[in-house]
Amino acid sequence: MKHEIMKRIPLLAVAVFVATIGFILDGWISIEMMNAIDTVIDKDRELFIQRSLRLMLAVSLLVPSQLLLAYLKGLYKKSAITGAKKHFLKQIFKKDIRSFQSDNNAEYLSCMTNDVKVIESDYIDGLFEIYANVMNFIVGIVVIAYVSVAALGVGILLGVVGMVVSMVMGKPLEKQQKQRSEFYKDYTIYIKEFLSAFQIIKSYGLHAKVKDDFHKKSEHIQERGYQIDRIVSYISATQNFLMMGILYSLMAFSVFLTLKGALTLGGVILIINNMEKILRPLMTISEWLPKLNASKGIFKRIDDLLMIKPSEPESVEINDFKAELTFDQVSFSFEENVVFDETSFRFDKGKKYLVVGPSGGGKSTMLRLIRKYFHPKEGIILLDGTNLNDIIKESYFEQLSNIEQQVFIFEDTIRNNLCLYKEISDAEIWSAIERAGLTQFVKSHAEGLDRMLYDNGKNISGGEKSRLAIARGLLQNAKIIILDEAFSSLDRQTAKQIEKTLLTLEEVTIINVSHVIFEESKALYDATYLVKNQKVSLVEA
Amino acid sequence: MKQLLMKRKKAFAFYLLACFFPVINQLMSQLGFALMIGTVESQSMNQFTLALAVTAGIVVASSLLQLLSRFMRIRFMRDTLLDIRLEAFDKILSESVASFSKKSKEVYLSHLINDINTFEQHFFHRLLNIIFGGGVYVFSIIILMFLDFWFAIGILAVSLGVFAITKTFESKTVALQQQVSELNEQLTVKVSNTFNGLEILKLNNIEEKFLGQTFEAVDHVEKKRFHYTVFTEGQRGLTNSLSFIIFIGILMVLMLKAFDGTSIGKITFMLQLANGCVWPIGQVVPMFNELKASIGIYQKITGTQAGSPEGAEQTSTEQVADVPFAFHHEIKIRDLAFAYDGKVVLDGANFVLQKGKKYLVKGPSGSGKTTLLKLLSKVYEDYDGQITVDGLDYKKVDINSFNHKISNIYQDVFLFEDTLLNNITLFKPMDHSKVEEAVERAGLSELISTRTEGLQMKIEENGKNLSGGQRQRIAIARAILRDSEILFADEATSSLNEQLGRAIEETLLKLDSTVIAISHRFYEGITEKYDAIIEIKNGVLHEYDSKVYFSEGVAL
Repeated sequence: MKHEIMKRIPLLAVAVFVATIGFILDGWISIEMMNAIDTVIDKDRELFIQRSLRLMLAVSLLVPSQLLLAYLKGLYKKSAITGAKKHFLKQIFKKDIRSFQSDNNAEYLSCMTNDVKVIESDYIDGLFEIYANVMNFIVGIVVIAYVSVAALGVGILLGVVGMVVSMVMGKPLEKQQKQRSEFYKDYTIYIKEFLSAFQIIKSYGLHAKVKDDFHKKSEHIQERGYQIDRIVSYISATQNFLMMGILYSLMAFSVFLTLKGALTLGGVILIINNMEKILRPLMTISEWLPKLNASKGIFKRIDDLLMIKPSEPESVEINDFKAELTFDQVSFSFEENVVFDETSFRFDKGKKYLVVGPSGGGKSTMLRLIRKYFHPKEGIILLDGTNLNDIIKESYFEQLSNIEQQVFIFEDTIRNNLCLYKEISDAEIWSAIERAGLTQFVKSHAEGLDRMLYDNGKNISGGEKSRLAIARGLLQNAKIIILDEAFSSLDRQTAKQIEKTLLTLEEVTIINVSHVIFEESKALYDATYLVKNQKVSLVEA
Repeated sequence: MKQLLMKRKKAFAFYLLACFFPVINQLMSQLGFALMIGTVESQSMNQFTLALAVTAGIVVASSLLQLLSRFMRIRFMRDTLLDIRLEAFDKILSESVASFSKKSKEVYLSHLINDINTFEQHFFHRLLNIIFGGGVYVFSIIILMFLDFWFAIGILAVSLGVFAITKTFESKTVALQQQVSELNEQLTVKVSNTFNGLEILKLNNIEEKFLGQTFEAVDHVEKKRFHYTVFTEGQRGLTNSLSFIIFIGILMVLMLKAFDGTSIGKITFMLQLANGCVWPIGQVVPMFNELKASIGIYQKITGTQAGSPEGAEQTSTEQVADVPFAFHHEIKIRDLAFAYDGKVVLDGANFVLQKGKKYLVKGPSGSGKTTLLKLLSKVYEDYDGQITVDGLDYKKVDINSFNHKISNIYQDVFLFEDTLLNNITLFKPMDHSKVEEAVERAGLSELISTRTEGLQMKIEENGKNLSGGQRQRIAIARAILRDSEILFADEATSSLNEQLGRAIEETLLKLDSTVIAISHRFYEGITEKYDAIIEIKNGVLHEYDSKVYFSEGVAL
């Protein structure tokens, strides 16, 4: 990801260049100001007016340069942030299908909202701040040196002392702040628990006890916060004392130089003003450097997350499912558990299968093996005689249709949600809608198929989403339809109905993983598999 | 708000005084600086040494003053913030369960944490800054008026001009910032949804299209952010340039005075005072708004808004609910209709619950199972239709007598930092043998036997040292021990393994209480022992005899 941002160096360079011009302008103004002030000591009014005009000319250039800088800085940031975000998204999208289980998704999102955000604020901004301030520092030095090298020397010395002071003081300050946020974290957890248990507290009449507890906790946390504030006060007072001392020392030194004739009044004013131009960049750089350093770790974390594991080579393209999908002596383990142990079974074309078993028994693993998310550790899965490992995913997926319990709704029309952007005739769509029991849902709004669905279907009931998923599945005209607890959000009547519809589809293999079974439809299945105890076995009717 | 501040009159007075100290510090350091510069004109070594000594004194004095100021302030802040925390908490605690449930927990969490932090930031810090900025401004102008009246008037005019300029920028900045943050939120939601759906996108080979769409959304956000950056950076640059220009303008005006004989020292002092006057107004006035807003936050979280009723026990129906709860036969639900968050959950539900029977509530997620339980446990009171217990309207029942006779087992278990015993008995004195029995039946014996302290074992903060299953068993033990008339259970065994879940389900079904439970688990041989199954479909309740239900649609 760093690479993406580095691509924007040219823009950064232009922005820094314009900023430098601004700093040089500042420096020029300082010098003109010094000249103007010196005419006062010499009581030369004419010269004063002349120099003042020059000064005003320089000042007039300030505004346009600042505006240009704002524009260029914005351009750099936009380009860098956009590049970083797009790179992130592109890499995520490239990942293998098995990487998109829910835990991972939360991680990806958290990485984008937290880590990438930190890169935006700490790294991208930081690059500009550091380079610009380095230029500022250099210009400041040149300007002061022009007037008095001695003052420059003393100034830098004092500046370094100042930086050391603030770094040394900074550490204990940070420690205190960290402690503070730790307390608040625990306090927050306590409050969350209290809120969740509100009804219980009220119904068991525990108000008094809880109130007492909370009062104690709050007093505690406020007191600890107070202690920390006291320590922080001492630290910042000391820091301030030292900084003030440094500033005044420099000023005293400059005034001393005028007494020795080595400097003019104008020179003193210039030095005072420009010392700030030297110290502030140093402060800013010392603030940003640690952030930049910290971002190294974050880049690594991001890049690790985005890494795409090399996948097994696939060479065979298929365009049909002809006869059978066979599991032959398949063994598979997931983390520590043995899920399957040398089990064999098969699915024939056009037949209807019911798959049952206790939760955690391996049904979903079986589906993932069928979907090529995993490869069997031992044994082989054959599609029409070809090893599934060798078959190209995309061509295989064309043959499969998946109907899940959790349905993903795109922010798009009902039509697109059903067809998944493929060209399908309206007649076919309506047929699928009817078979899925979705007719009323679609007809209930005037726009019908062109109605927009928003927010991942927030306003649609669970049952309607399921039916949408089923219609979607039907429209894919796949040879194998896999249902993964697809009926659990439906009431029994609708579930029975849709099941019957599916079971009467010709030439389509149905694999229904479900814990809801109806007596009447049991007979329509060609076979029932029980996934239990590391085996998949046929259930005798 | 006034009450709160006036509670500690002396401390508050000290606080205000402490806020003035920085003003004194600033004026002192400006004086010291002017003295120093004055010696350049006089070229006198003596004056230099004197000025040096004075300056050193000023540095020491200022640091001490700063420290003193801080100490005076933080003490007052600590006490006041504690008061606010307690007030906010007490307000929440005093709410009835019904009105509490109307808002999401996040709102209350925000009241107790974020809002108080915001208040601390905005109220105290802004107050300090207002007093500082205002103080510097007023004193500087006054001193300038003594030094050079017309010059002071000029500076006054300039400061008002600057104020007008900064005001015009303000609202646009706020608006832009909000837009950026909204767009960012939208992007996050969009990306989150897309990640969740990527599996399907990949299965259907349509990821490319979505990548394109997501890219567009990113461009959209960043374009807005670009506007924001250019605007704020531009504003900052402009403000800096303006401040520089004004400084130079003041300098030139003052230098002209020098030609007329004014001393350099005096000019330096005037320059600093003038420069210190120009910007404060622009910075201070918006702070008044933030101060007002933070007072508003205080009023919101402690319920002391003008016109709002203190304490929120009254429901909108204004019914007197004082009949003691008596359940001997049945609870009847008639034409019950209830909507939550605009969505209709129940629409004409009818049902009869008979005393002593065990009911299992089933239905897909979002169908209203939890809502039904809440309606039956008097959490929600603003429904249409009727719920009667032995003929008496539920709404007339006294909530306290009701709460005494029921118990709940919910997903979230609240534990006190106390002994396990107290967490089970909930601080009521109970027969030891009954406690032991409850512990046994809830499957907690194992946990107790592993600790030497047994029931006296300390539960740490929020039950950190316990697993989800152990916490749930404590909730179950509580319910068993209470031996109430009605037991409401919402996924009571969901955190337990199959074996333990079975045992507990069996225990619950053997209780004398009327049980109304939501569960998606099926325990062969046990779950069929429920007397009836209630299925919620389309806002209506269907009752099924459990034997019929389970033989028809049950897993092998």
